[in-house]
Amino acid sequence: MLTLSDEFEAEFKKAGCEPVFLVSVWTDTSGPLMFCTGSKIITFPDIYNMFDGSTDPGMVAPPSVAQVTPFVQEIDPIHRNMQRTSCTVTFVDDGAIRDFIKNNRVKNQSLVVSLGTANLAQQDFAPVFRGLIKKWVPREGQIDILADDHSDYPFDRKYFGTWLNKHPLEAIKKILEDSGMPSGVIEANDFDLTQSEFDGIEHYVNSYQGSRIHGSPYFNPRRLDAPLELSSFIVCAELAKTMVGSVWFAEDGKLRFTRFDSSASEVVHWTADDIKEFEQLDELVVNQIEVNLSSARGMLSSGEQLLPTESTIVVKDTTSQTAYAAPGETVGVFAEAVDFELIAYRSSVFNYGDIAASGAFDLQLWRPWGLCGTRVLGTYTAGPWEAMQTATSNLSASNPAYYLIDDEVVKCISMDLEEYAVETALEFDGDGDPTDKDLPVFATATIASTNRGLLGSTASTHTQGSKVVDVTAAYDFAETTIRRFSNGAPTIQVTTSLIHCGVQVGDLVTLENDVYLSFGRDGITSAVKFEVTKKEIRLDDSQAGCHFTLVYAGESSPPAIVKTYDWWRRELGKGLLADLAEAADRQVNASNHVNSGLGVTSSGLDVTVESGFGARGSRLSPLLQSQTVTVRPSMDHYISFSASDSGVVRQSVATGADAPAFGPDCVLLAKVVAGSSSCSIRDLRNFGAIRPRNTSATDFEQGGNLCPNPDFETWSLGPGNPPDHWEMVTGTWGTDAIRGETDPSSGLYGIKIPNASKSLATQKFRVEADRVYHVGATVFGSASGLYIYVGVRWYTGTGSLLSTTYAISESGLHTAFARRDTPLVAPSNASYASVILLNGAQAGFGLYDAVRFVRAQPSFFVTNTTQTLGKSTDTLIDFDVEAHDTGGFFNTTLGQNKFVAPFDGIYEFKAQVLGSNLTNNHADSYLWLSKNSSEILRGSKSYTGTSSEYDYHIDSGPVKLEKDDIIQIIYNSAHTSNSVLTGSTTQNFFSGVQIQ
Amino acid sequence: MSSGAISTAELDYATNNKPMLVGSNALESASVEKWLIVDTLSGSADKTLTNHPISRARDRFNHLQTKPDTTSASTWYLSFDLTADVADFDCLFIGGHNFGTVGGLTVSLEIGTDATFGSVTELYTTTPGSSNKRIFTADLADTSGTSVPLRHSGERYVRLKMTKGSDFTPAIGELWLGRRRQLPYKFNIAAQEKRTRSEVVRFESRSGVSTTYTLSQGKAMRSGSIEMDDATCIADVTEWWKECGYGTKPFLWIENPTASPSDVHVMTCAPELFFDLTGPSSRSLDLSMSEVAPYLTSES
Repeated sequence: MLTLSDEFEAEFKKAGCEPVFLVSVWTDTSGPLMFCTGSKIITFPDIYNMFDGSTDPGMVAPPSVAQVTPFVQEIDPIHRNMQRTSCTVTFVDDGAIRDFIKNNRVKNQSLVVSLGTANLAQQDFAPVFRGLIKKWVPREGQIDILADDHSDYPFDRKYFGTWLNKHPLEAIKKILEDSGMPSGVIEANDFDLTQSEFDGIEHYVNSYQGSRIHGSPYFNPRRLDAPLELSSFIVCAELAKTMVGSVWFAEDGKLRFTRFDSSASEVVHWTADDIKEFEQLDELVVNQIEVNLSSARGMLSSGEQLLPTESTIVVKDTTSQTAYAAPGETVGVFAEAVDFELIAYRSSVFNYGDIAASGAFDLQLWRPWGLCGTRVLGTYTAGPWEAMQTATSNLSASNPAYYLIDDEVVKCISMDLEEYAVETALEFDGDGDPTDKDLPVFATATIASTNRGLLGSTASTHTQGSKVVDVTAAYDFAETTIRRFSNGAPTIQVTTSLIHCGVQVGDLVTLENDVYLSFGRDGITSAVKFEVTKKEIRLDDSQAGCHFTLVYAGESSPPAIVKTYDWWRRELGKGLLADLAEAADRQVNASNHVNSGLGVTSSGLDVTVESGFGARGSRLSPLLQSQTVTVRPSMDHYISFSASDSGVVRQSVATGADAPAFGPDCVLLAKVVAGSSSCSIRDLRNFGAIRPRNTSATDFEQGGNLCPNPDFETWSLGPGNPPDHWEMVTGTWGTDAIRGETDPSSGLYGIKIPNASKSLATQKFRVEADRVYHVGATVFGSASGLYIYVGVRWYTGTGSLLSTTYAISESGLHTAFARRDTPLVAPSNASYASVILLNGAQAGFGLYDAVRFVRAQPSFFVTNTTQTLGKSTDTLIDFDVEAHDTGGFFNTTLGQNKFVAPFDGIYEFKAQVLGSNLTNNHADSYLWLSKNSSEILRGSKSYTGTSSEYDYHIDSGPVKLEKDDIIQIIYNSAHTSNSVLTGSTTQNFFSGVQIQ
Repeated sequence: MSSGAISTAELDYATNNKPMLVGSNALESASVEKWLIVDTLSGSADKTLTNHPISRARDRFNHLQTKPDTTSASTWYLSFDLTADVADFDCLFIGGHNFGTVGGLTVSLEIGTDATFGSVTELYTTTPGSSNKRIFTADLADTSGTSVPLRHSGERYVRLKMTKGSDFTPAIGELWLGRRRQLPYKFNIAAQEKRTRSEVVRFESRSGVSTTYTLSQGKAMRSGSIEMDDATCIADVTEWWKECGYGTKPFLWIENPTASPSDVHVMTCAPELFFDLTGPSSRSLDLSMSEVAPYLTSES
């Protein structure tokens, strides 16, 4: 309500007075022209200067004004839209105004109209209108000057700026000031969140990142960034609506924000002495309200929404609907739909593992800074975030937030912003000039079990990546509307004398009237409060007074309502863009990567990320200008590029500590190790897209490393998930196994298993039974007693686990990374295998990297032990000392001493028996290569120079064998006496290898 | 450039308080007009305050003032070059002025022989004292010579001189050098000098409490008929009708030229002249006039 001076009230409380409109035209900040209605010249000894508050020299106001159009201000009580106010002043064409228009550029100059009498000082006149002159219309003997209220400042300008992590009131003020509105015409108190009238909504937060500046909205659902095809003022109105409020221009030209609050006190009580005309208008009934949360601001030519509706909450009063049912019907629905265009901010769940469908849980949120309760001010240096928040901006029992997670609504009254995780995003003003804005990257909200499945939703399971939409404002709006209108809101129109011209739209009033009649009401008493939704001041030849339209606001004992809720399931609101966005979120096409630039440098503790492009999935986002952040000394910092909103994210940990978990949109750029005053930088950029799943793991062909993603360099789903093609066997990813970034043995990443007996394994890949495979890894165990296992799980063709064999099963690996490789033979019925990494049951953590699973060739090298070779006969040489036997296909058993071919193929064998180890040499004796007991090759011999001493050799060259062929070395003695072959591990041998 | 006598009949009518109509203002032909603190009109800097042009002094509205800027001066001239086509004038009207507010002024009407005003003749002088009331005189004689009222023709250089013992800033709503059109009689409806009208809107609450909002008050209204058979008077009425644009422009109504010369009303009437023959040589002037604000009743 306007505060009117005592002098004004005294003047207008008289039985008779001579009211005039005083019209001032300001083309500068001083020295206005003044005119008045009526028949008198009014001389003011001094005047109030509305620009600087000073008292200026007096002025004379001649009665050159013939007429001033009625002033009308009107608000839509449901949608809270405010009509623009305009004014037409008709001047007598007496020369003064003609000269003035001729000599001054009057368009966009200030026109001020106030109400008073010639007996009042100018300062005591009641404000009626202040606006900007838009046009003038000369007519015969008259000149009309038309002015609009100050909404012209932002009304015709589309908004190009952004706002991040702001209270809606802060956002409105920013938009208006960005649009050129002088701060002096913005009512400061209405945007001061410390005012008690904002109790209950101080924790609201709104964010908007416009695509006109940042890039295409097409792949950028998180920005809510459809181009604003709205004027700045409409944007402000949309924001105001989320608080059940309105922005409008008051009689004094100030931009006001007024919030509907039925609990507010009435500003005036009217009796029959105050009211002249009373008219009952149609009552307003809304017993079903549909609030659409959407960032949609356009349609594709196909008709699909440019951006999806995030959700729709439908609140009904079933009692009212039953009461209003027509005969023969069960319900009478009076529905209203309201679009919340700018509050569909989406965060997402970042919990490792599933959130169960029941019970309390900590909701870990990624990119929470558009949600209620996250508002922070200032620059994040040492933290904590709490120091950057006001007490009332936090969540509490009196300031709760309602989040829609998938299709479940939860209530949150406590939230903690994660320290040392900061995104520095760019916030743009109306001219597109950016400033840095520090934002929290992660938050943890505490959700009690009793606060789940609220508002008609059902508690359900959620997974990492589930969307989180803030429905707090929508819920409040719907509740308020239903409570007010579901039983029929009386609407009336009254006329009062001019003394009540200080009552404004949005004010609550009470009155007494015995005419009003509706169901349950016979007359109106002071127990019923009304909101002023329309105000009209008339002072002309036929009327003088104030016309008010009043709409029911509440009463001391309101009728009971029974609310029920319906929610659109999220799939219903999806459009093309939602699908594309989902694809980008899930990185269907490509992993996060650097496309170009984004190099990181430092100077002191200032870390600069150069401009460039980073991609999240298939969406490429630019960092249009280099950005510098200051990091804390003596910590490790991980610098990422947020491909969702082109911000620079820094996450800090203690020096040497494990890397933190990164957000799914983060393109990792560098690790910055900060000392006390300087930094060292490790470049972690990964250039070029990695396109996972182009080849199924099960289709990998032998020949190379069969282990998929063996060096753990591919994380298309980000560090919140296991590396591509790996999955947990025991334990939970993120807790029992994490991405090892601080010290991989090769590349950028490895695997760290911090807990005992936890393991992860590759997806299955194809192997051949009985094949020999070389399996190994580079491993480290933090404690000497910790066993590190790297093994192979063998599967049948139908996927049944056959056995697990370990290539590494070793402790004492605590001094440094160690390389181990071991040949393993696939079981005879194996078709698939997977590599498993397993920590032993001992304390400590294991590091794993550079896994190898390559096909190996069977081979052996055996030497002999002493044996007697029969005279004049063939004797199988007892090669029974294995130097190696890859695949274990050589049988050293006496009398066997054979190699059994594991596969069809080409083999090569060599053997040697030196004469110096053999008694009773003979020139006709020889070695022969036996295949399945048949001679396929006779060896050569050479005279050693010692009498009757020969060395015997076999060099087979390529020999074609079939699986299970048996190869042995036979000595044919031509001597008539037995010979003794002395064993030697260095002189006699039998070797073989499969070469193809 | 000449001055001539006004007929005895006209003077007699005036002496007997028969009303005058003034439809012309010689200042309307001005080609040069300036607020000055020096004599010379041509070439001297005009001191007119921005947005307060001198044209306001001859716009037939009392409520808009012309005034000079903040130059310090104890003597101000509002000087005109009325060109060779200047109309005759024989009376002076000054309305909407601040002479009383300033106080202690001597106000004179002078005519000059050329634009230097090196040689001037004072036609009228007055000392308003503390009164802001309208000033009217039908006696524009040479104050240094004859005291017989004269009618002036072809007087191209005219100025209003305002002087005081100290610096001041004058303001004038209307300055009128008129040619009187003397009526021989008053209206046939006698004693209308008290007739006024106010515009009000009443707000009466449901309980009967009434508030009266006044839109305007004290507007003078005059109507009636005047029958005349004097050919000169009939011709004067016809001329007056031309001079006020056939009823389209405000004109002066001096109800009692001798008894209360300052009670000058700025009037308008319907733009249709009813001046029909009522006898062989007599005509009846039917006139209904209403006052233009600000009203005389509001001035003190």
